Amino acid sequence: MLAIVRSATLLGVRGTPVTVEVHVSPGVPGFTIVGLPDTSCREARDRVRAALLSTKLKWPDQRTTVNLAPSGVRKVGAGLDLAIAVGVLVATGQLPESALEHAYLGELGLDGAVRPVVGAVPLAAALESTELVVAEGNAVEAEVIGRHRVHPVRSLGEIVACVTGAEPWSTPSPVAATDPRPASDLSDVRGNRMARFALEVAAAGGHHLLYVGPPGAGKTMLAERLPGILGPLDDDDAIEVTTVHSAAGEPLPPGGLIRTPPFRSPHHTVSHVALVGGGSHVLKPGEISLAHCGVLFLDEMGEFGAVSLDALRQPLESGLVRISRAHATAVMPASFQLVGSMNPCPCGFAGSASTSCRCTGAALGRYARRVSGPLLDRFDIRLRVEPTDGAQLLGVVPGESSAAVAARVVAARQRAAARGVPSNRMLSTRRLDSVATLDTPARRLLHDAIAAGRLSGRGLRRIKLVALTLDDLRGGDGRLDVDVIAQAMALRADLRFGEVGVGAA
Amino acid sequence: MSESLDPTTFGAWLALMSLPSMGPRRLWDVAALGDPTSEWERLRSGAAPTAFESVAEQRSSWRAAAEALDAPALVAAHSALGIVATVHGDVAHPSLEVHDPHVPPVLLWRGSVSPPVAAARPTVGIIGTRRASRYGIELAREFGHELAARGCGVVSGLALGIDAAAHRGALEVGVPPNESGGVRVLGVVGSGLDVVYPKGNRSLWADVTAQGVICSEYPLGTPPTAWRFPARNRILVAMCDAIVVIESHAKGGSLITAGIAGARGVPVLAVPGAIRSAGSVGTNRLIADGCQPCLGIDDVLDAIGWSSAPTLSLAGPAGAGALTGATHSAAAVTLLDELGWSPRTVDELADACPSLSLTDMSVALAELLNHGIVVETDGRLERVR
Repeated sequence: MLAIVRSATLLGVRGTPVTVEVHVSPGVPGFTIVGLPDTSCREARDRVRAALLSTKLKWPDQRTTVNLAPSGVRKVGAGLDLAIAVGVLVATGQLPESALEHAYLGELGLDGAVRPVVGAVPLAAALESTELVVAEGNAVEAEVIGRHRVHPVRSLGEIVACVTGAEPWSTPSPVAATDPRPASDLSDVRGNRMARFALEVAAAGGHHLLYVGPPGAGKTMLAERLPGILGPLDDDDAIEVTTVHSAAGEPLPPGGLIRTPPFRSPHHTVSHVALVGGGSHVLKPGEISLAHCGVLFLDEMGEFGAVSLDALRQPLESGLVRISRAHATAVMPASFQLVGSMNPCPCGFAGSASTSCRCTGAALGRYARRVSGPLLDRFDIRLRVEPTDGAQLLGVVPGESSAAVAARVVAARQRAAARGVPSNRMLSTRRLDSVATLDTPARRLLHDAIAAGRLSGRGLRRIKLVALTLDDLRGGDGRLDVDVIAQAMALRADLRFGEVGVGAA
Repeated sequence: MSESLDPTTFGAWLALMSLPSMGPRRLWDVAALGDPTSEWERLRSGAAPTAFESVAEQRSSWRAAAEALDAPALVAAHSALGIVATVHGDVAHPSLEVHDPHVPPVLLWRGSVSPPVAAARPTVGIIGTRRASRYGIELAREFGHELAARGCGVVSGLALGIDAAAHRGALEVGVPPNESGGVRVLGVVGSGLDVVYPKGNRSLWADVTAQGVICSEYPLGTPPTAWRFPARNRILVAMCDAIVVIESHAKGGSLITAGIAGARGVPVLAVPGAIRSAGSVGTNRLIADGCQPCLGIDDVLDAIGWSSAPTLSLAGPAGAGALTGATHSAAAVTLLDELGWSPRTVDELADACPSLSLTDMSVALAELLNHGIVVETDGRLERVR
C-alpha cells in the first residue's frame, strides 16, 4: 500500500517541498530510503522504528520503501522523520488516509516524542497545505508565515489520537509579541557631536559607516547604539529576516517574528564561510545574511582577514550572496548596512598628537593592504574619532536619547521609501541624479573641492547620496545646497592609510 | 667629474670598496698613499697592504673575497648605469679639505648630467623625520621649491617624509635652461645606487636620478643596512653650506646629522613647531640648545649669504600665499582659532566649538579645506598656513 505525505527540507535559507512516498508490500521484510537522503536523514529508519514501537504501534514486517521526491534535492537532517512515520502508519493501515491532508515537520525521539526542527519558518513557507503539524517548540515559528493552521504536537501518540478523532488538535498558545529595545541608549554618549550625527545620518540613509580612531575613542560604544535609532522592520522585511534567522537556527523572539533590525557583530577571527555563508554539509546563511535588513558591525575591522573583507564587496553591491558548492547552489539575501570601526594603525596611535605611533612602515603597509581601497571607498560616511578627556565628560550634559533621534530617522526613511527604495543607500546613480539637484553655490563648492584634489568622481556620488539623506533629515525637497554638501563632505574623512609622507607630499 | 678616472684606477677603487671590512678609514689610507691600483694587486695576492696594518687572518679572507671580484666587470656594471666616481681632491668632490675624516675618499654618482657633480652652489640640506606631519611635509616641499627656484642645490637623503617632500619641492622647479654643471637636486643614499630604499620612493628615486644626481659611498648592490644611514649623513653634511631641520622627533636621526654639522661648523637651522607636536620635539630642543631658529625661507637664504638672491622662477608652490590675508567668514575664524596648529578631528572640533552648528562648521571647514588653509590627512585636520 502507498502513502504520500507532504513535508519540506532546507536549502540555504529557503525551504523546498518534499513528497515522502511510503510503499509497503509483501516480500522479504526490509526498509529502504531512496531519493538523495544525507546521513542523518538515512538514520530516520532507526528513529522511526523505535518511536513506533515505543508508542505501541506496529513496525511493518513487510518490504517497505521510502522515496523522497524530488530526488535531485539533497535532503538534510532529521526533519522528515515525522513525515516518514506518518507515511508508514498510513501505508500499514494504522492511521486513516485523512492523516495525509496535513503536512508534517518534525524529528522523532526514540520514545516517540516530536522534536523541533531548524528552519521552521522557511519550511512552512514552502508548504502549500493549509494544515501543518509541527513540534510544540516550532509552533510560534510555523505561525510566522500565517498561511497555515498550525497543530503543535508533543508526541507521535498525540498525532494518532488527533487524526483518529479521539482528541482535538491543540492550538498554539498566543504569545504577546514584544519589542525588545536595546539596553544601551544614545544619551550615554557625551560630547562627540559629529560622531553622533554621523550615526544618525547613517541610520537615516542606511549608509555604510566607518569610525577610525585610537583605542578608547568610543567607536564601539557609538556603533552599538545604532540599532536603537533604527525604526522597526516592515512586514515583508520582518518575515524575510525571520526566515533567515530561522534557517540558521538562531533564537527568535517570543512572538516569533523579528521586528527590530538585526545587529550582528562577528568577532574578527570569524571564518570566511561563517561570515559569507556556506559550509560543505548544509548551506547555512553567514553573518552577512543574518544582518540582512540590519547592521553588520565589524569591530576592529583592520584585524579581519583580507580575504573575508574583500568577500564583502560583491554582496555590498548586489544585496545578496550566491553560494555555490558541488552539490547545490543557494542565493541568500545579504542587504546589510556595514558599520566598521578600526584603529588608524596596528598600535592605534598613528597621527595622534599625544601618543606617538610605534608601528614600523612595513606594519603600516600590511595594515593598509588588509583594508583595501575599494572597501574603504564603499563607506559613505567615514569619521575619525579621538578619546574625549575625562573632564569634558563630566561637564557635558547627556546627549539626546535614542528615541528622539529615532523619530527623525524614521521620518527621513519615509521620504526615502517614497522614492521606492528602502534607504538612500540603494538609490541608483540615475535615480539619484533625478531626485537630487545641486544649486549653484553647492556646485561651485564641489567644483572647488575637485580642483583642490579633495574629491574624485566616485567620491562625488557618495557625497551627493549622503547630502540627500541630510536633506531628508531636515525635511527638504531634494534641492542640495551648500549646507548639506559641506556636511556630507565633513562626514567623509579622506582616508588613505600608509600613504602619508610617501613620495608626494 | 672634471678629471675622468681611468678604468684601471676606477676598477681598483670599486674592487677595494667591495671588500669585506673595508671602511672609509682604510680607504683613506689607500687614498693617502695615492696608488689604489697596486694596493688592490697586493691585497689580491694576499700580501700585506702598504697603506695600513692588517693581520694574516684578514688577508686570507680578503684574498678569498678578491678572487670572486672582477674589477673590469665592476667597472662595466657601473659604467652601464652611467655611474662615475670622484676621488678626494677632485673639484667636484665634496669638501676640499685634505684630511677631512668625514668624507670618503671615493664617491659614486649617478644622475642626469655627466660630468654631473659640480653642484649648483650654494647647497642647502633639508632634513627631518620620516614620520612627518602635514605641516612638516608642506614646509619641506616649500623650502625645496624656493631654494631650487633661486638656483641653490637642495640636498636630502631620499628617505620618506621630510626628505621626500624636499626633493619633490625641488623637482617641481624642473631643470632650468642654460644651466651647465649645476645640479639642483641631490640625494645621498645609504645603499648601492641600484638598491632603491625605501621601496615606496621608487618613483622619487627615478625622478631625482633623471633631473638631479644621487650619490653613495657604496658599490652597486650594497643593501641598506641600518648602520649605513648615520654614516651617509656625514657625506650629506659635507656637501651642504647650511642644514635645515624641518621636523624631528625627540630621538631622531636628524639630530645626529645636526650634531655632525655643528661639529663641522656648517650652520644648522631648526624650524620651530608646536610644543605638543611629537614631530617638533627634536627641533624645538635644538633651538633651546642654541641652534638658530628658521622662521622662513629668508632665514635660510641669510645663512648661506644669499639674502638678496634673485628668484629665478616666479612660480611659487601651488596655492602658496594665495589666500593668506584673505578674509574668512566668522565661522571660519572661530574654527581656525580653535584648531590652532595641532591636528584635530572633525568630531573634536565640533565639540570644541559648541557655539557653531554642525552645518556652519561644515561649510566653514569646506571653505578652509578648498583654499588649502587647512589640510586633511586620514581624517585629521591640520592648519598649514
